Amino acid sequence: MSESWAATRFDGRSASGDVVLLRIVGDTLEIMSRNTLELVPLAQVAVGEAFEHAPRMLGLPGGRTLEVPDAQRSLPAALAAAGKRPSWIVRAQRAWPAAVIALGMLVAAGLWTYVVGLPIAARHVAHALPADFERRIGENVLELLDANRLEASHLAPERRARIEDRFQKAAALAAPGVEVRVEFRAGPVNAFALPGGIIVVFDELVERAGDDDRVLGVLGHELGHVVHRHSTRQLLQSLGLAAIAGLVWGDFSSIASNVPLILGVMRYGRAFEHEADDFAVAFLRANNLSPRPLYEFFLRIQGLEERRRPGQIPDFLSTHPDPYTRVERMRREVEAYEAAKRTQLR
Amino acid sequence: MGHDRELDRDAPPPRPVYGRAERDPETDDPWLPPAELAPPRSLADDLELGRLRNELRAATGARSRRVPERIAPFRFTGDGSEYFRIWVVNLLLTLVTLGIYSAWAKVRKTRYFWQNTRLDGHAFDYHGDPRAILLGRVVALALVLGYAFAFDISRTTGLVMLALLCAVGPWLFMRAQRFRLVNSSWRGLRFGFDAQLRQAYRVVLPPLLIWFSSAIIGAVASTRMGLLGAAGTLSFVMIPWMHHRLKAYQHSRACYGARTFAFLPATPAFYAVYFKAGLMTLAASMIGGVLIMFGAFALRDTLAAQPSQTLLFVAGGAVGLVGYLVAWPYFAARLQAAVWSHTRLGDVRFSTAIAAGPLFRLTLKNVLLTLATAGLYWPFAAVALARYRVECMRVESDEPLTTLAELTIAAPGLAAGDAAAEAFGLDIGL
Repeated sequence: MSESWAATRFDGRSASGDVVLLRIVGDTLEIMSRNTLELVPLAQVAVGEAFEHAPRMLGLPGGRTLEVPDAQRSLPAALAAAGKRPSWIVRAQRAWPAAVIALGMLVAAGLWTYVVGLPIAARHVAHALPADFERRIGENVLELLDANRLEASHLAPERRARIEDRFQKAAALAAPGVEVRVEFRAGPVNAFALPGGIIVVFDELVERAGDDDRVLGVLGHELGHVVHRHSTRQLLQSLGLAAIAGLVWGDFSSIASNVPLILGVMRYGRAFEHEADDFAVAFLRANNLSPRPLYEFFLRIQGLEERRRPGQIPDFLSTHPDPYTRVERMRREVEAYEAAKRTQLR
Repeated sequence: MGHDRELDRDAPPPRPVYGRAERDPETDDPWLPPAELAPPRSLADDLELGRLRNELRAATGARSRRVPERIAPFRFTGDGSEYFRIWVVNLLLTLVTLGIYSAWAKVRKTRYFWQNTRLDGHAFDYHGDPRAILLGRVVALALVLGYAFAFDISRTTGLVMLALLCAVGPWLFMRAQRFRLVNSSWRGLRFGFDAQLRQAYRVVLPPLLIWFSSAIIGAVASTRMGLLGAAGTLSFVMIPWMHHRLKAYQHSRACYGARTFAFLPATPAFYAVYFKAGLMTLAASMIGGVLIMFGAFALRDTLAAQPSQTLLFVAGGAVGLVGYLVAWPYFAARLQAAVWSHTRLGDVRFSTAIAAGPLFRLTLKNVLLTLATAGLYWPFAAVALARYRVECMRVESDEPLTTLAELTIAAPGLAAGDAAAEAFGLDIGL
């Protein structure tokens, strides 16, 4: 005797249903009610996905449906035997080994996207954006900062003009065609680049640097951020991360999806600092200058901060996990530059 | 005894149907007409009648021994470990296809939750077309990105974008509601949404204009801070009103077959919920802030070595989390209660036993376990939350639901096939 299943048949035009008995005979679905027998070719039956504790939904021609409790869970095997196999996606979702493999692949794909995919995508998009658009974002951010947090610089206008003038000349040589401008503001030892080539330098950085060669080195570093469009890329990467976090934990809570976002922003900061340091060295070289003043600046900042409170990292280096590697890199650059100079002289 | 009641018109409910009270409880089955009305023994009776009955009785929740209930609970049969597998595979495919699969994932997920939701022994079902959802997502993404960057390009572009949003917003909202309801069914009959263009604009446009008022004033007259502040305050104060207006629209235009839902005005209830939840958020954030300050003081030596930005982010996140944990369960529970106690489907009423206390404990558990497992507990949390929210729901009616269902027919002009024409799906929930 072949298997049979009890079901409720709905006509789709009303909510009333009739009790039927189903059998699968060859490639035909037999639907028996009290006084009718309907034969539907299985090819015309829309077979819904099977869930462990839900009734099985079968779609019949004409918008009618069958709701099959299938308490013994014997219907999937019978359907498969009759040629109605679920898709590979459904099979993967039903099996634990496949789910574990998918989890592993998910972690791998997530890591790859985070480490490789997102940065590449952000770089391409950032370079494709019109310069005008970037500048507008930068202006807006500066306006916002000025309105809320920043105060005008106390430095002498002549000194500011001298620093900016020297930097503009050096920038024209090292990165021709890149539009930048320097904005001075009162504040701690720090400098940053906004989208669209706006470099903000704080007074204390200029004062603590000791001499303006070191400031030029720092501006070269910031120019590296501008040339590589780091702030725009950072913005895009944050957006991308937010989108992914939303996909994974979506509609759970905006807070949970922001945790990876914050961590991610911190990490990208470090990669960009290295890139900007390298650019600063190239920038100084293009102007036939030694990276030594920038190295001295790093040492000085580090010394200043170490004297103030042990273990604390100065703001300028805050996105870096270990300022020593960065200073160490710069020291090697200085040695390489000076060795090359000596060879030339000889 | 049952017959007496039927004859006595003044007798109070419960009213037995088919005079079933006298029948033998063992053979009594809500699915089958009483023996005296049944047609002669048929094929179905001959074929394993006992097993058929048992299976159907199990499926319909063993209601057989009593007079049909007038309060029907919702049941949720989903299972965390099953949904975990669906979630993982959905997520992987979504990531690998750069988000395109998310539309298919949404259909799978919704189907899982709908088919595991039962009322009166029958499951709900979802029929959304993933391609329509994908199209809707592309359009929504374009609008959101367009709005996010329009004011960075120029003031004119920003204003044009705002005008566009106001022009298409009501239509999009209407279509989103329609898509969701037309693609949901129970007992093989689809829900519907009586969507009329003019009404959609009359209902949705005012909230939209209030919501964007500060953006519009900011773009046109940014120097007039007083006006700007007034617009900001207005849109803040009107949030419960806007939410109520949209919810009332959603619930009063919905229909099931030819029966239409109705929504009784509940603006004061919405204001009460929002006000108390706001106070709770404020209190919780203040308490959280104080606790974090104490914590930071106790750990000051360890923390001193960390960059100040990170600390600020973590502290801010923690304060927000505390506020969310305390206020969200209250808000969600009270709002669900307010919405459903004001919703009717003809004589059918809805109620929910949802309460802030249990929901708070559940949310706390979900958040802690999700954080502790780096997000892996999330599908279990989603199932647990759905179970609680669904199983709190009740349907109250004078007639048994099965009887009502037997009498429910599709609305004219809205046969099952029509839903397939819905080519544009959007997720705008409320």
